[in-house]
Amino acid sequence: MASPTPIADDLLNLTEPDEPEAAVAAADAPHPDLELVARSKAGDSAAFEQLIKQYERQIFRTALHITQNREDAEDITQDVFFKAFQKLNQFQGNSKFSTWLVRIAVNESLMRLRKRKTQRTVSMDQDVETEEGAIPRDFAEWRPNPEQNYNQAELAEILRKTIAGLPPGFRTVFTLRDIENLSTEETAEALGLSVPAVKSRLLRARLQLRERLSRYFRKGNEGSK
Amino acid sequence: MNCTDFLAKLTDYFDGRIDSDLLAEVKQHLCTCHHCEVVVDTTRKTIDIYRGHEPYDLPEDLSTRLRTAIMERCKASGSPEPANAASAHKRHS
Repeated sequence: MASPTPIADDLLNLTEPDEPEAAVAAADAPHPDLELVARSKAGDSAAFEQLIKQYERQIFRTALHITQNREDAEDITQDVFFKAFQKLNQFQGNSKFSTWLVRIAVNESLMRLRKRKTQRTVSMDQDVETEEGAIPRDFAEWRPNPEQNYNQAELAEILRKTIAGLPPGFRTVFTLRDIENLSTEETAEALGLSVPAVKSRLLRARLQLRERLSRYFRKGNEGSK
Repeated sequence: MNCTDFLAKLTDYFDGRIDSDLLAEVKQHLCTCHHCEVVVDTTRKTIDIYRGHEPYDLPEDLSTRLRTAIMERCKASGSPEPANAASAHKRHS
C-alpha cells in the first residue's frame, strides 16, 4: 500500500546541508533563534509563536512571489509552519532557522504550482534556458527617481506585473536574493542549487526585470503608464 | 574587457565580491562604455525599487488569523516528531 506520507516529504529533504563557509565563520555567537527553537522543542508554544511572528511575512511573501496566488500563499504559510513544527527535531542548527523555513516554503510553493493544472511552468529548472533578457537590449537612461512618477497603487501594480512575467526559476532566485536579502550561499542552500547556478539566474532575472521596467521608467516617458 | 566579459562579472560587481585588479578593469570599462554604464545604473535602480516597495505585504488581520490557525494545528498534533522519525519511516517502508 502506498505510504500516506505527504508528497512534500518525497521532494523535501528536511535534513540540513552543510552550512556555507562564510556563514560558519560569521557565526561566532549562537543565533537567537536557536534558543526559541530549543524552547519550542521542549513544548513552549509561546516560543514557537514568536518564531512564526518573526518569519511569517517572509514566508508569505516568498510563497506569493512563487505562486502568484494569494490563497495559495496563505495555505502555504500555514503548511510551512505546521510542517516545521512537526519536523522541528530534525533541525539541528547547522543552518539558519530562517533558511530552513524558506527551503520548506519554496518546495511547498513549487508543489502547489505543479498541482495547479493550468500552470504552464512548474519547475525551478523549466524556462531558465531562455535567451530572453540574457543580453541587454534597452540602453535608455531612466529618470532620477522614476518610481515617483506613479502613486503607490500604480507602482505596486507595475512591480507585480513585471515580476510575475519572469519564469518561476528566475522569480524565486530574485525574490530570495534581492527582496528577502538572503546571501547567494543561503539562496543556493534554500533552493538546492549550486552557487554558480544562483548567480547565473540572478543576473538574468535582474536584467529581464530591468528591461521590462524600462518601458515605465525611461526618460521621456513621464506621462506613460 | 568587453561588454560580454563585463556582463559576466556584473553579479560579483554588485555584491562587492570582485578582486581589486578585476575591479579596476570593470571601472575602466564603465568609463568607456555608456551602454554598460546605463545597464549598471538601471539594474541597481531595479533592485532598489523592489527592495523599497515590496508589492506583497501581509496585512495584520491576516497575519493574526494565519498565526492562530497554525498554533491550533500544532496544538492538535501534540509534540514535534522524534528526530529519527523520518529515517525510521523510510527503513520500515
